[in-house]
Amino acid sequence: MSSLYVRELVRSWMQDSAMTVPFFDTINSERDPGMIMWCTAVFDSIYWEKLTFCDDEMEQGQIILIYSGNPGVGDVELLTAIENDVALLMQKRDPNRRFVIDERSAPDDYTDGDADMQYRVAIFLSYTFYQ
Amino acid sequence: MTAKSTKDTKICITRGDAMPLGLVPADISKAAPAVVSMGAGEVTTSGITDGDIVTVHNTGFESLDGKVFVVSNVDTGADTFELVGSDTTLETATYDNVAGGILRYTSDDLECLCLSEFTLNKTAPGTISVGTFCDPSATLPGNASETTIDFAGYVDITDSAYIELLAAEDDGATRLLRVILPENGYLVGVVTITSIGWDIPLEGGVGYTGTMLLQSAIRHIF
Repeated sequence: MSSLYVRELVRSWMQDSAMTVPFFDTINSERDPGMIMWCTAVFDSIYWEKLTFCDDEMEQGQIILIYSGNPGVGDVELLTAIENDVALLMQKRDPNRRFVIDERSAPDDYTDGDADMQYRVAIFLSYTFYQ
Repeated sequence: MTAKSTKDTKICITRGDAMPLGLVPADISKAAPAVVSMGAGEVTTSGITDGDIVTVHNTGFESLDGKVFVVSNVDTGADTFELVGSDTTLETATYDNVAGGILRYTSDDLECLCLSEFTLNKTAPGTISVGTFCDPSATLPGNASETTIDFAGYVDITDSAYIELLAAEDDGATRLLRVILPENGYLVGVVTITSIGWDIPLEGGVGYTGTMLLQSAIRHIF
């Protein structure tokens, strides 16, 4: 799982008031957002490596942004909001220059094109964190 | 044979503004390692410490003069310390306690480098072919090849060690090099930083690469 620095920074970015879709942190937390369109994040570290003789280290991983939207009304509404928010997110910069989002994926439907009680779309972000 | 991890390896160079302390030993023994004896209380007042880098001059001991050593077994009671890796057992001269001296560099005189790579390139001198029909295989010794060290790290303008590397390349002055190999002694030598370049990948950290040129033989002392 990702370092705390990564999680806290991404959460703060996702809670930017300019974001269209409200963000709720759900890790180890039983929460009911009380709304249909909302998002959360899952953090997954994949690789880490020692960089220098001074024990500097690098962590690489994946952040999965999971967006929930109105069921049964197609994908345009949610994807429009997602693309706006992810574009904002990709412009964010860590002032300490230790964390960077390297790449983002295209939207990935969780519900395989079918109508579902919960319409969900995921965006996969790959990141690097210099500890 | 047991391989030992490089964890806790420290690679340090002396700072360009270092001002080493001059010591005048009362005596240096003929032993392996050589034991340096100072005047009463001088080990304490000098603050000399295990791990300090020293250079030795004008002692009359060929195995010591002009070389870099690391201090060990500092004894404030006996006012002595040892020079790691030294061996004066075969010296025939008498220690010159008038001209002889030691320059001592403390940890404050060092910048320890957070390198990602450190490679010593020691090449044997080549030969020049002077073959003739009488002796087609004749050769003469060529010029001694330069020994270099390639190194690399990550750029951090807040890191004093990175700033010191840039200064060292700029001034071209010699620096003492000490590499601590945990449980495996030290590599010591005299170097200049001859080039620094930068690597800017599409993704990843901004890095630098560089070359040190050895101005003396690099020695593994232990």
